[in-house]
Amino acid sequence: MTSPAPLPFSETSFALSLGLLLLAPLAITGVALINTGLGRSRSAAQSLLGSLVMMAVAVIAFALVGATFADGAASHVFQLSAKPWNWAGAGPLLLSGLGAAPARAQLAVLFQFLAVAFAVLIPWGSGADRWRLTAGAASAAVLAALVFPLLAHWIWGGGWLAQLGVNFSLGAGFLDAGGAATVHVLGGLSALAVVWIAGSRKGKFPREGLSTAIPGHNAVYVLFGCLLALVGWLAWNMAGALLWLSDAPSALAVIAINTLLSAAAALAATFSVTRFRFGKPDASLCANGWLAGLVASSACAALVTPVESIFVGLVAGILTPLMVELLELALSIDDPSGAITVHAASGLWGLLAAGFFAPLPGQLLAQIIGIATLLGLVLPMVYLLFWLVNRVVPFRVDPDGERIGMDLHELGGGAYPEFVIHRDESYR
Amino acid sequence: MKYAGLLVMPAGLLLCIAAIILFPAPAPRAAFVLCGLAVEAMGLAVAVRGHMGLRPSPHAPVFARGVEEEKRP
Repeated sequence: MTSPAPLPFSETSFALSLGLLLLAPLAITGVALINTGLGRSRSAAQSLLGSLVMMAVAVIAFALVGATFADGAASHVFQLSAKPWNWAGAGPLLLSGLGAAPARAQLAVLFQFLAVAFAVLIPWGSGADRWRLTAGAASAAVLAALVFPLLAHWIWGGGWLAQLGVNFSLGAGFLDAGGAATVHVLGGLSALAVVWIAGSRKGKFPREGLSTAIPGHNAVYVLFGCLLALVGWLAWNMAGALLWLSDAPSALAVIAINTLLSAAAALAATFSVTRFRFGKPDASLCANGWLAGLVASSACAALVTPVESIFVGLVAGILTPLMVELLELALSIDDPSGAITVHAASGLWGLLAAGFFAPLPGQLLAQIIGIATLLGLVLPMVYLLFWLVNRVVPFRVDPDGERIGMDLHELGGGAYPEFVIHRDESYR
Repeated sequence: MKYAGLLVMPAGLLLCIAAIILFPAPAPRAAFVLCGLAVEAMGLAVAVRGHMGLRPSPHAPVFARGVEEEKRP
């Protein structure tokens, strides 16, 4: 099946999209810094190198395999109940002919490359201090070659989720301009699968008593990462609106304001909640709150008003510290970077909020079906694939490697060779 | 337990898809989609519960807590 002719794309939109996409990697940089800062000092170099390795593996796997399935120009379709179900792209192999494609199609592929690099990075922080580099790279390849392309096609490439509006009168179909589903929820659910398979860090959940607090080693990395992420997110949401919603350039200022308001409201909410609960605001949770607001804005910044953006951010900011605590204390899930809360839960909330506030009848149901797909299909699929990868390339480092730190064990040298690394109390 | 939960979750998605195909009217369609989502939530809860079961219990006998812990200094 061939999609209808693409909408006209002005030269202004092209230039704006390209410029914004060149800024978008700052969001990836910010998250990589946050992941590193929230891990231990003895795993810092492995964490940052791992971010680069996973991005490299992901973009190569996407170029070789995934881009074919993600393609929006041609598709595999089957008929069910007299409706077309567009389930996978059928693009040319190895990106052949990309140079001759329309400008919009080329930008869409660039957006997808950046998105896949971002998505595979998110679970890396959750596996900090015990997830082996080679296993992380193998998982990134699997995500980029198989899971991300299908999701990207369903949502951005005219797949069955995007066509819910045309086929079943559900609003404009599933909407996700900024990658809340394709990047953040996919990354967050992958993080949950990694935590389930790799297990918790040694000493995190002792035999008796509460879980052990293992604070991040560098709050400055974490907070600076938040500032970098803001720039990247602004670019990401605006470029997504131009490319996937065909918004006019005149709509971009409101989208940027909505993104900023959502992050600001989320930070204010997390700051207040942690101040109220612990007596003092918690820096790492506030950073997570800021990111949660940005993630929620990815889904709905182009669809809501500024006041609604503040509401979306407030809810994300209140949920973040409560859910981090719930996962760790009640559910025994050891997630050092908080990716499950920040990316999966806030992404899902943003997608739902987009349905609530979008002025189209049936949009909420379309968003709920998209959420059901993420939970009901993507999570089990990712878990199964990671489980298979774990059989071939074990995720978890051996106990000795975890004791001495991932830097020494995997790289042969630490990130801070002049610093004395203290003995970890949890090993006594 | 974890695998059972993960198997239940796609069943919830199938309910959602069946709802949009079988019910053109908005009310029953929305009700069935929400039921599908509830099934997924139950599957997720079972999977999470299965993961919690892996945490060593303070009341478990020493030999049942895993070899790794016994090797600790």
